[in-house]
Amino acid sequence: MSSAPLPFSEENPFRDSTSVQLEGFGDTTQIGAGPPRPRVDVPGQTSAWFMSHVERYLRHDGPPQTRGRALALVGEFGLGKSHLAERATAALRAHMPAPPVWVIAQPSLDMDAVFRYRLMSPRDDYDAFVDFEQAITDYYADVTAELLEADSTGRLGPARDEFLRGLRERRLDPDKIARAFDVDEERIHRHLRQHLRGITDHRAFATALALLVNDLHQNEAMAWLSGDEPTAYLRERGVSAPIRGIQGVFDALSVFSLVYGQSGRPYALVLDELDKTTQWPALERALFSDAFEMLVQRYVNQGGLLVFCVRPELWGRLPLSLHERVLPLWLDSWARPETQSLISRHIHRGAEPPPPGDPYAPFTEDAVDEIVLQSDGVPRQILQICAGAWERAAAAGGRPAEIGVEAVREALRTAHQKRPMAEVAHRLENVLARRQWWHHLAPTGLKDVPHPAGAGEPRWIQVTRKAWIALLAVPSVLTRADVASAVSFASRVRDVLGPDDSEILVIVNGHACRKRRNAIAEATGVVPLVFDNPHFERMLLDSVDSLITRLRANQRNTVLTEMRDRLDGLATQQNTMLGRLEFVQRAVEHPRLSAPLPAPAGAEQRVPLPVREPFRRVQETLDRLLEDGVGQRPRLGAAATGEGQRLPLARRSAIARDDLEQMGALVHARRLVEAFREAIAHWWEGGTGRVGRGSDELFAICRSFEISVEVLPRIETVEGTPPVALRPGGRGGGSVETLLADVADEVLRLLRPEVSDGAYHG
Amino acid sequence: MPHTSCSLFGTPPEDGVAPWPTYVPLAPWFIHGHETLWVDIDSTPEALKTFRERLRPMAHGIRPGSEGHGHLVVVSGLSGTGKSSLLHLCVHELVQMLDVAADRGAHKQNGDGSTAGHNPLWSRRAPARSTCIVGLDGSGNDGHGIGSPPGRTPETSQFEMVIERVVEVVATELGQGPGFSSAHPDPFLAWRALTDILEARDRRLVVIVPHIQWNDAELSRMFLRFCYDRCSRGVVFFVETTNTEVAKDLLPFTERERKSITHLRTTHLQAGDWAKYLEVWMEQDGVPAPTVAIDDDVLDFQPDAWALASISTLQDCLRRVVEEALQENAGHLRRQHVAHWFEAHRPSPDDFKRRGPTR
Repeated sequence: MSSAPLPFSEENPFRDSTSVQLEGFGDTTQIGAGPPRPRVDVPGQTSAWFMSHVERYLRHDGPPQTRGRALALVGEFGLGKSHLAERATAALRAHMPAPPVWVIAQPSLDMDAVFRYRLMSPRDDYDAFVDFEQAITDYYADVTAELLEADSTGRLGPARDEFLRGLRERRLDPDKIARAFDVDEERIHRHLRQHLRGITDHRAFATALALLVNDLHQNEAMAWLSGDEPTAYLRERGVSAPIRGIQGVFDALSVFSLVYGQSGRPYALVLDELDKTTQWPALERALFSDAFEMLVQRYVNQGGLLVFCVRPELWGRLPLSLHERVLPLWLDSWARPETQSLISRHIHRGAEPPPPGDPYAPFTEDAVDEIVLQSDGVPRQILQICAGAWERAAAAGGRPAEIGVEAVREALRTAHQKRPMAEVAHRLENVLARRQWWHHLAPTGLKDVPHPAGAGEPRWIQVTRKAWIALLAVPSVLTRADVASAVSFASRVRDVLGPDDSEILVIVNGHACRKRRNAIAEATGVVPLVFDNPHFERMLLDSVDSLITRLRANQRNTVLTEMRDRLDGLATQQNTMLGRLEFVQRAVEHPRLSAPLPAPAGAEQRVPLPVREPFRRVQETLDRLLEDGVGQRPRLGAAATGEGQRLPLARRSAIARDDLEQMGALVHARRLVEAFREAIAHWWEGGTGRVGRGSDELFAICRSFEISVEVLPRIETVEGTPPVALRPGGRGGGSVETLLADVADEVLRLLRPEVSDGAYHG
Repeated sequence: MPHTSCSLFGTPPEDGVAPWPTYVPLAPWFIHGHETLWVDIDSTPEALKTFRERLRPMAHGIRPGSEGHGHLVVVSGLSGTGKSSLLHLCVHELVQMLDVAADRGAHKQNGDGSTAGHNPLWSRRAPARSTCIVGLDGSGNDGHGIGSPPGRTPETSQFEMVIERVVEVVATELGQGPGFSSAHPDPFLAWRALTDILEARDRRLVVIVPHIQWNDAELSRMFLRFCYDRCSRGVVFFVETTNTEVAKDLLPFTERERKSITHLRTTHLQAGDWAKYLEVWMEQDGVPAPTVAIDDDVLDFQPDAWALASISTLQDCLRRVVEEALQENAGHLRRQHVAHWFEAHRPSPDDFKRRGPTR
């Protein structure tokens, strides 16, 4: 421990503003009588690296074109972006001779006001003005030298070359020379304006800047460059509007950069809080983004230094072209050595050089470890924790003798748990009621589950019949024990409801460092929410939404499994049934016959005598028709060769589809006749005498034949030949169908006397 | 050290009171005898020749009320090169031509002119019989009066202010009360009313416009166009400008329009101009004391080119040499003295250092 004197023995050395506000104008005047508190700076790696870039920029001695650079300080809140930007600003302002430094502490939608009132303009102080005028005079000197070089009168005398060199090296005053040697001022002005137009790429700025070397109108031009309305004199020369809007202001900044850059002078722009623009309307944001991109290019190309602070989220969204031109310096979380150093420097503020070994008494070693853990390595957090802990330890009066872990935790609790748990419950109620998620009694078995000390009554959201979300509000989670009690509540809920049917969302009303939050998230599977977070409401709604989705998805999976099992069972049953049905159908369609079918040859003899004649007749007719066939009789062999001596060609004998169908019908008709005859024979043999043979059966046989014939296609016989030998007294028409139908009638008529009763159904 | 003002190389004011001021152009149309101090140096002989060749044939046509007959004379040259003196000499000659033409038109005998020859030196010349001469800015013609101090009426543009002043000054010369242009808001009708007055009085009008620092090519062209448009019905504009590129501004005029425009240039001095200029002053009588006699061998001296950059530079050098001689009570200006002075006063880059910090 060091015995170095403590300059602030009675005072809390950490009670300082922990956020840095950049100032647009350099001011070193001491305020009030008290000794100014020097700003504490802990040289970290990023900080050293950043400042080395700034130093290298200022001490650049290569060609001016290679000097320019754009640096982005990228980091989350409280990591010290603005602090570094301020250090850079101070270093630039302290450099001799001071380069012009424009500082925009915060981009605003009203960029006109920022430009007019907050941004350093050359009018603000004499040095800045002279500097700006000198930069313009450089161009004036170049133009004058150019005109004098082309002059052949020898008016410069023997020292001509010396004059020209002096002008180009910015040693000689071009205005004095122009007057002394009667150089045409109007012509110089025109050339200067052209030259400036080429440099600034902007007509109005060229006009105004060219007028700066004209004493009469210098004020008017300067007023316009500072954001005022243009005077009539400027208006009639094409400067018609004041510098307005985002585009106008960035144009002005860009032109200033060119004025300084082309004359080889260093100059810088520091822009803090670029993230402000993310809240702007889309149009303004796009305008700003384009203008800013152009400005970065200008600065890099024209030897300027541009520093801006941005959070990682926006940095990732910036266009690629910017990423290529800007060197990002990422600000990391601090580890133990830097934290210790920061604490030490504050305690021994003003001690020069700082005491070796970074003594941190009255903080104990454990306390510092705790601070490293709880602050997540964010410097602003470290300072706030230290300030609170010191305050608490010094409550008894005087300088605290020791600041331990408890003081640190107590400070965190006091600082972060500002609202009572009842308010948290009330707020939860409000937010959840909006979606009708409020509120349910605890599910059975969880009515008396023990919850962590100091925690509010858990709130329950029923998602499905079985699935629940538990919302548990707890005070600051600082220790492992705090984590463990939250986790034990979670595991109890899971035991009762089942892991797939429950989610536990922990809401921390106070402080929870990253490590503790992660521990809870790992155990519950849900990231805890911090009540203090300004976006708490939205985050709560989003979280509950996604937990509901998660639970429903779990439920759906369960139902799907059940359904699949049942469907599997049903499918097996159905397959078995189907097999059986097929078996039955086959048995029905192909029954086993008691006797083999008689040979067709003997069939004729078995037909009863009275009907032998009709059967024979119809058989003959069908045989003849089949013999004749339908359509042309096919002929094969070589086709006619004509007069040539060629080889004989093979001939294809074709047949029309209809003919083929009719021949098929004839074959089928013959088979029907055979079946008819067989059935009659069978019926005849089945009984003896009138008593044994039934008329119903005979009728059924004849009718079967008749309806079977009806479905046959119409058979066209060859024209000119009588198709069938017509029986006298038969039905007209002479077609095959008629012949077959007549046969059925005839058979029935001839055999009726042979059956037992004479009933006739026809 | 007593201040010794010498009138040598100066311009005699009205009544010739000593000391004769320097940097003032000769205005022979205004002061009798100024024409005797004229020296044909630098490129003025060619300029005068051009002027005479172009104006003499058309002088009789420059009549009030006669549409289209007027002229625009533009005299350009760097400051100090004698633009104003050349311009005033041209005015003087033009007025004489116009007087002759007017007399001829009225069938008068040229008798009145001879009586004018008896006027004493450096007295104010009687106004021309045929012509009104309006100088917008006195005989000095340095443009300070009309150069529109912008602070006064910042809401009025320089161009409008100049135009209004041209009309007002001419109106006043023609006896119109102040506020003439506000009574005639239409610029065309206002000018028409003025030329009607000229016609009624049978007078021509010469307007002498000093150099105006426009600092804008467009405005400069617009102003030349304005002057050209007023050159009609017997009006002649003499416009002076230090813009050596004025020829470019005259290009937009058509070929026909350019017939009514004469452009004269003044440049730096030639090697022989030194002797020519000194000879005039060596022979000049009536220069008020104190003065010195110039040795003949001074004429043979050849000054450096820087001293010959313009007549005003040369005048300035000679004045300072003579004043030095007077302070040393030397009655003569000797060659050695002159050579020594020019050697010692050669411009050095060290005299033109910039003020303020330079990086």
